[in-house]
Amino acid sequence: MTERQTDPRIAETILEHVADILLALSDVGAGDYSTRLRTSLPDDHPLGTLYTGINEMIASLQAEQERSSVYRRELEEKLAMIEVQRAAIRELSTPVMEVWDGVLCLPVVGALDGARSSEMTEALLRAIVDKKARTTIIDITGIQVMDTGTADHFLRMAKAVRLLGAQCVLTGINPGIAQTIVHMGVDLSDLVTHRTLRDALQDSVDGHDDDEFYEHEPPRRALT
Amino acid sequence: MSTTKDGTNGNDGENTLGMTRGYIVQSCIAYVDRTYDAATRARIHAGLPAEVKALAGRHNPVDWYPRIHTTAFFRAIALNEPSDDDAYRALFRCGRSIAETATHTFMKQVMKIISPALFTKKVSDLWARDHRGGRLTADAARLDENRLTVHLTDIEGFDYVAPTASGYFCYAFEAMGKTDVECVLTGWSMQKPGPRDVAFDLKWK
Repeated sequence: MTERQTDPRIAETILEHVADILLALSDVGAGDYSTRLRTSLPDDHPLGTLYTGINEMIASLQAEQERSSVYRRELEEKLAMIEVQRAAIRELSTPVMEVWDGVLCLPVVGALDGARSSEMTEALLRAIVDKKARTTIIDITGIQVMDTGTADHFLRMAKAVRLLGAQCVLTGINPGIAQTIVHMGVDLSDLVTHRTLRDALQDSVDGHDDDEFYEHEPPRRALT
Repeated sequence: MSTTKDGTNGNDGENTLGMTRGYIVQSCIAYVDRTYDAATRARIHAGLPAEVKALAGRHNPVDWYPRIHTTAFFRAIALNEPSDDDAYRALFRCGRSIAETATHTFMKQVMKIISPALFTKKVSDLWARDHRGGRLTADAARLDENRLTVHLTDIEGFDYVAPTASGYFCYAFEAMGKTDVECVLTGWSMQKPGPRDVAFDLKWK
């Protein structure tokens, strides 16, 4: 068997080209897609063809990388927008309205977890102090499911409200939730309840009017 | 990456038209962090130009940065030493550290096949791969005697790069399996740290 002898000059040339290719590939591996292999070899030379193939592959990777960059930028913008919207939703999910002089209303819609409950309580207590409110009506018409956790959140909220010297009224309890509360054995006796927001508001306003009336004039019933 | 319109960085009038790859700056930072105690490190970092300080630790390995990002560290390393000889040795060690980073990353595969002859042919490409500005060429006339002369030209203003290049070459030849590698640098001094041209005479066994 005869061993094929390789011309040292050819071996050296091949080695040189391999080094070029390795350097270009290492650039690409490090994230530099601008690198290209340059050669004076003719197009039909095997190494020239290899160079062309590698350059085409790098160009393709570069195009893909640029597309990925665009997608990443768009994704980052969308995530930033979601964060802004989330903040807006957070703000809107705890609307405390002054519906009458000294009467605040907090309509609750959707699920109530620990974090949202804390935010609501904080917003409500701040509003009680700012508006010098005497009554707060928590309307849960928009709540479809009540569990012990949610009921506990309301009890804590009511306790905090009472500590500020205001009354806490719960309204909008639907029949299903009423049954659930009884079934769970949750004691809501500390809370004043009304069937609707309208009833609670009417009661608050009437009570307030009576107070003012008694302060300035003797009650009419006493005169008759 | 930025250069001012007149090509100077507004600090000592140093030319910043030349650029270097970020991995070199990263290697300098790693060298400083590894070599010096906390107080010296703090002094070196505090003395860096504002534009370098602003980016320190955030250089992208493949991006290009004005030379000042490299020379600021070279200068700090040199000026930290008590004598010119010590400064040369410290910069030499920094150059070895840069070469070590290179040979363990982008040069890793190339190092498996490289020889002094191939290094001689590729030295210009290797320089151009990491630097914009300046030119590195090698004279292969005495390769048979295990000697090589390398010329680094058009590097005026690229302060302190010459001693680090010496360290780089020595490490690269040792990584090729060569022993007793020596490099004699001519045309450079601490008094003139950024001459136009320098030469390196390498020999090995």
